[in-house]
Amino acid sequence: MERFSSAHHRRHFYFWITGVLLLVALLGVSLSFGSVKIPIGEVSSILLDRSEYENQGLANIIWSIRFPKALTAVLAGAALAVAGLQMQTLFRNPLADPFVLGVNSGASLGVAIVVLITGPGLASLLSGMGVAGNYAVVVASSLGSAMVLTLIMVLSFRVDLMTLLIVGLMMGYATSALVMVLVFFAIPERLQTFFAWGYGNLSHVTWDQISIFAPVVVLGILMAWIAGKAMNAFLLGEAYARSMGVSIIKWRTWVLISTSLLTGVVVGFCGPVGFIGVAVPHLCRSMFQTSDHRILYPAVILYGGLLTLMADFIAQLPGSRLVLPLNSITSLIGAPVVIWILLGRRSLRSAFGNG
Amino acid sequence: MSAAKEILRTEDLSIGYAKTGGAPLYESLDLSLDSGSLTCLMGTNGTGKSTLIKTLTGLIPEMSGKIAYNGDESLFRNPARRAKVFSVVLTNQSFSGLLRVWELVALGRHPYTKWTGRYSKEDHEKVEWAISAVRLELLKDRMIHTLSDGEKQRVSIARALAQETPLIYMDEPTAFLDLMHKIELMHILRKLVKECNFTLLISTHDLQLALQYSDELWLMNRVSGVKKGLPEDLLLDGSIAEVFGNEELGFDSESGHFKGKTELKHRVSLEGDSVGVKWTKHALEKIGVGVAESEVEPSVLVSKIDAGRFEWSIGDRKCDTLEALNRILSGMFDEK
Repeated sequence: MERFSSAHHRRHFYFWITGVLLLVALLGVSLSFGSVKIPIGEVSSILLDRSEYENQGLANIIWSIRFPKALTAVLAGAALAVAGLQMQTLFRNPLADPFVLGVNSGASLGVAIVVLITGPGLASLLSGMGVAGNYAVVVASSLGSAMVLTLIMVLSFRVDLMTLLIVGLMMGYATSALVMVLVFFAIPERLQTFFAWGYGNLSHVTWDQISIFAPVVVLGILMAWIAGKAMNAFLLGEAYARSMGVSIIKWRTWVLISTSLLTGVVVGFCGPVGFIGVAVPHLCRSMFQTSDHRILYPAVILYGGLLTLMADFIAQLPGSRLVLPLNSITSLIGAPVVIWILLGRRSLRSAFGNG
Repeated sequence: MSAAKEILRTEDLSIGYAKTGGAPLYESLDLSLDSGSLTCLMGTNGTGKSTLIKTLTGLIPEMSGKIAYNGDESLFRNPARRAKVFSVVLTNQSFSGLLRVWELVALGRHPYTKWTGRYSKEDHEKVEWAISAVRLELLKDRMIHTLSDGEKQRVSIARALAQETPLIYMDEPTAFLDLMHKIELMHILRKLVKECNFTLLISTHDLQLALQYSDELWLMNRVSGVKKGLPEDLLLDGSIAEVFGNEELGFDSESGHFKGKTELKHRVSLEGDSVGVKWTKHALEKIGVGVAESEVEPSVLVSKIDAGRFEWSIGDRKCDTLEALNRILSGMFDEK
């Protein structure tokens, strides 16, 4: 094929293999480490042979706690990275991420309203309807982000992308201000629940919830994959894309829906996990040296999942009893990655046409 | 050369921005483009060149009238079909993306690939052809952002060629190029138009290139509308001078140049070697000395000694550079 020189094939091959191996290794250690350390050997025998394993206690820890958590990390990371990649291409802006449109602010407003105002009232209402306790937060944040994204979507038919970006930022400020007011008047005990959500947490997600979480993430990613060809045309700018027969409105809406699904569901179940959406697409562009979405989508899925799993593993502070907020770890990894790439690689500034 | 066939025609076309509620910029335009022809569109800034082009390419709707491709008016309402008929090269080359030359050119195959965007064998061949047509073979593995403006421009053109459309529009393709690359590019484009029999519409500010390379010239002016014709005809009938000239600028139909009108305070008569005479006149006009049609004093004689060596004589004074001649003449006029 003329598409890439053999040096590039080697480079791509190297990063695929490294990514897959690292992911497998990290899955192994994150299943093995925790409040109870389970040796890797036992982890693998539990995974391969669950019913026959004699120590049901350990098997339970793996199957009901650690495995869903690791799976959630991989899915959430992949979802955020895909959403981030799409936003960066759509808005032609290297700092765009799924939250740039105010999605997390919408979600946090939703959660703030539920937790801080209605508090236990709504939770008990929901559990009365057969919905488990922390579903209230999930539903509230999903509704909050859906609200913001619906507004964005309606606006996207009327205004250009730059205006949309600014509207998103402004809505972010406005909702943050509302949240601040709610926090100011809230009863201290309820603040704990609200902040716990804001730190980002993967451990609440049970198998029941994964049965909702996973299909939505898969659907969002499939939608992104279908948009891949159009997204490549968007790299040349909207005027060129239109001249090549790409229907701008259609694909813009399509991509916004995909991003909403991906972001909404992650924010709902895991809280606003920051920086994965910004950092991973940059990292992958820099490793794979391309902007072709047909290569980047699988790449950001792999490395998004990998990095989130790693962040979560670090947040557990293996060997200690402390657990750090996931959000602080992703930001601590993400921010230097973005800075390093932007400073060190002229190509990345060029990647957005202003280098 | 195959017989020219009309492929694009407008009838009673009005263009402008209907959304903003303004009056049309131009009304009742009857324009046409032939296959295998290179047409240049010229007009001063802000006369509505882009509006015309955007309307012709279907990017903004026409205010009234018809645009038909091969007699078919519906095509311009269907983006997918339009993409197989009309491709564009825009002035904005700030592509967002870490793309190799090959990859960017291949994006031109967009209208032909399936939803996966996978390139077929035919797509590969067309991309290779487009790359070699603008002589980019040696750069095809390079990253776009490492190229010069001129190279990026050629990549952009290759992308449009890969789109394989019978009509291509280019917005000031020579704008960022140095003189030699401008000429080289226009030469390549004209050759491609004739060899591949497509239709090229170029908007440009470069009158020299338009005169030299276009089959037809469209002159746009808010007062007189769109004038079209063979570039040389438009030059001879004074249209070019009318569209671009003003109090400050005069058009010299002999050289095909615009120049600032300078007051000629003195006159000399000039004769001798024709090349020598041409450039002597050129140099003298800069210091306000015109060449008289009739015999006047002082009189300058240019003679060519051998290749690259000239001699000027005024009466009994001689010199071997125009710089020296300027000094002598300035001295003579100052005395008067």
